[in-house]
Amino acid sequence: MKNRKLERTAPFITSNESVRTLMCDALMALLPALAWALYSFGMRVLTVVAVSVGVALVSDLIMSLIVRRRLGVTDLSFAVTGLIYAFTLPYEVHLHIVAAGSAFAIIVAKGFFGGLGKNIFNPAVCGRVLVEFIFNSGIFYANELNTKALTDGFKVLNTLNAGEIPSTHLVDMFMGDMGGAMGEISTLLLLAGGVYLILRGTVDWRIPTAFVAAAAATAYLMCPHYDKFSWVLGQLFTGALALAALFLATDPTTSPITPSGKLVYGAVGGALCIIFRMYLPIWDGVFVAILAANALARPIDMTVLALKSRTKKR
Amino acid sequence: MSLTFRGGVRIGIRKKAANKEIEQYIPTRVMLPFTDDCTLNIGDSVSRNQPIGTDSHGIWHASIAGKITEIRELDGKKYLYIEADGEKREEKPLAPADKPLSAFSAEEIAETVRLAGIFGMGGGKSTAEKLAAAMGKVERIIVNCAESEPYSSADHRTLLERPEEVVNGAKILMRALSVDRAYIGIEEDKLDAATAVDRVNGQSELVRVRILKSKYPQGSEKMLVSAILGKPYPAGKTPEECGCFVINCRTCAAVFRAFAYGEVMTSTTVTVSGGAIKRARNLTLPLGTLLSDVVKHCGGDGASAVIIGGAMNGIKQTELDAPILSGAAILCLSPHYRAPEQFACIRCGRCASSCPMSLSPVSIYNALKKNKEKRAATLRADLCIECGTCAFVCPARLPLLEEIRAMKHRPTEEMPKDVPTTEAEAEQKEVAEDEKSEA
Repeated sequence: MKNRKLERTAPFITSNESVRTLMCDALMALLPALAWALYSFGMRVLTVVAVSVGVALVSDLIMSLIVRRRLGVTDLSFAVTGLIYAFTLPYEVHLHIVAAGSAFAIIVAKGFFGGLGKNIFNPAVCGRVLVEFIFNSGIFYANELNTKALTDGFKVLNTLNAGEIPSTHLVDMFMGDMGGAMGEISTLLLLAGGVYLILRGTVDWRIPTAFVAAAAATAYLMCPHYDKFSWVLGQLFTGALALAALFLATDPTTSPITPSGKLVYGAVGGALCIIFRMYLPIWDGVFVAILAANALARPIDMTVLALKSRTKKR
Repeated sequence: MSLTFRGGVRIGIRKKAANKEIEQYIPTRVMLPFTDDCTLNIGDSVSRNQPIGTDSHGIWHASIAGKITEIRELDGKKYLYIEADGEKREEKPLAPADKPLSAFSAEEIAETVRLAGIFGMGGGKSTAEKLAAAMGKVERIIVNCAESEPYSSADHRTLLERPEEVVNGAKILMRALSVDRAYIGIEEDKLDAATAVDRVNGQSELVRVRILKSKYPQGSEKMLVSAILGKPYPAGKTPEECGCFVINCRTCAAVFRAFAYGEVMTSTTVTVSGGAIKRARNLTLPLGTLLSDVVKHCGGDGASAVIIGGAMNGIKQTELDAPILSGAAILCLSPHYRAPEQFACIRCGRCASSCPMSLSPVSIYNALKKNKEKRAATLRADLCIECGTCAFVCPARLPLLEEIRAMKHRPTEEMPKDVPTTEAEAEQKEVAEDEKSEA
């Protein structure tokens, strides 16, 4: 049988899971947080999401026309990127800012690297970090400083990073009864989506677990306040940490393939997240931490594989 | 708790032939290997069970009585084309056992197995040679009834219908290898087979049933050893080096029949299934039956492709007038079969986490795509058991198995010559290269 010509061969059956179903899973998992954003901030949330996802769709179409590749939009990855990117913005944000970041995410952060699966950095995070640097925080929030959403979220995190305990109760922070970017506020609902993804097998439990554990450990070690418990939990429940641990760091393309690599990667992301929050003058250091961990993903994988093939004897 | 191995995948496809009794099918023609030592020629008549030649499989016997009308060449191998002449001539090259098992020596049993021409239903290796190589080295026999391959039911049916043959076959092999333990590994979705074994085996401590989790590729001998020993399979070792003599349950039954009835190996049991077949069935057919005859017999004419070896890692047959010389399942793909839509790889790592050999298939795939065979070798592509789990779970539907298998089956002279095969060799090579560069 060995000499028989091999052609397009086995397996002749495949699992029902495809890249498209994985992306649908991610969208489903983000729905509870989206619903909470609608409830908390009102209908403008929908406008921001629509612009973000719409621009992502158009950008993706343009990119697949330019590189003349198979239509990439059928995998729905643009929708996930667009939605997650929108989640990192405050709901009052100017729409041109939404569009700019979304287009940058799809065209530059994903397309220029060769499309889905080839990008090194998480596109949504790239878009978010870009708009923060270009439209610096002054412009970013200037018009709307009197609104509840941003001042609250901004203040809570700033208070924490300054080494104080904010006045918002920990339970409110966890449930999402606070200000902040649209999709980030409810740790509980993000957690619900994350657990769904883990149970479905779409996301590996190792990255979020390592991420949160390392963030908690780092926060504990660096804690400037005498009430370490409240301070550490405050760090975990505010800002984009839950979104990052469950949805940003777990992006399969920009995280390691190997199981042990995933643990290392998650831990690096979690630790850097707290460090960057404390020492970088930006609204949320989480995003920069994700980019830093992304850069390390492939080196981590290569190291793990090299160690493995060394120990595997014939 | 059912036993299992690391990795793998639950496939969850109902085996349509699981409740179908094994039927007989006798074709009017067969094709058997024309071995180097074969003295027969065109025009000669052969009787059933007549020895016709020997090769690496062992001794071949004519599987039907008839006349040799042609010597055909297929894929560079020669085959005797035998057409049945309707007569019932039969030879008895082997005498049934005339004394109790305890009076047989290991050599006598091995000789019986050799004369009966028994070879593995899975691997096609001569069982006599396998026995000789394992003698004195193994501690236990493992009878492989896991049958994790979707669609296949031949092992399951054999165990249900003739459990005594399998159990007693295992006892004969235990005597031949002088070991005192034999395990029959059965997946938990075939508990009725386990009950059947218990019925004939009673409370005997010699042969024990081990229930395994239903997970592909549990039926691969390495995964079976890993599950039963309860530890990861040591890379690069043979099952014999792990102290296990693994034998397929149909081969095991053939050993018993050779011993008890003097039956030589002239038939095989296969499952014929797939989308193009309305009624999946299990058939016992003479070795060398033409694939096209079986497909026609089962009503699979409309199949878009015929596959030998099952849906996960079988091989699409380009030549249907080829003989069936193994116990692998036959699959006729539905005329509506279409290869699934492909996407871009998102590096999800499912191939790596489900790989039973703990390899990283996508890394090997990427290396091969860039023609970096050396890198593929350092990723230990040689350990791949070609089960197809990676390609099954891949959400982008990359042809992982296809690429890796194509590389492994390329003729050896095309393989890069400087791939280190062992750690020691690799070190030697490095030292040699260092010396060269220094000089």
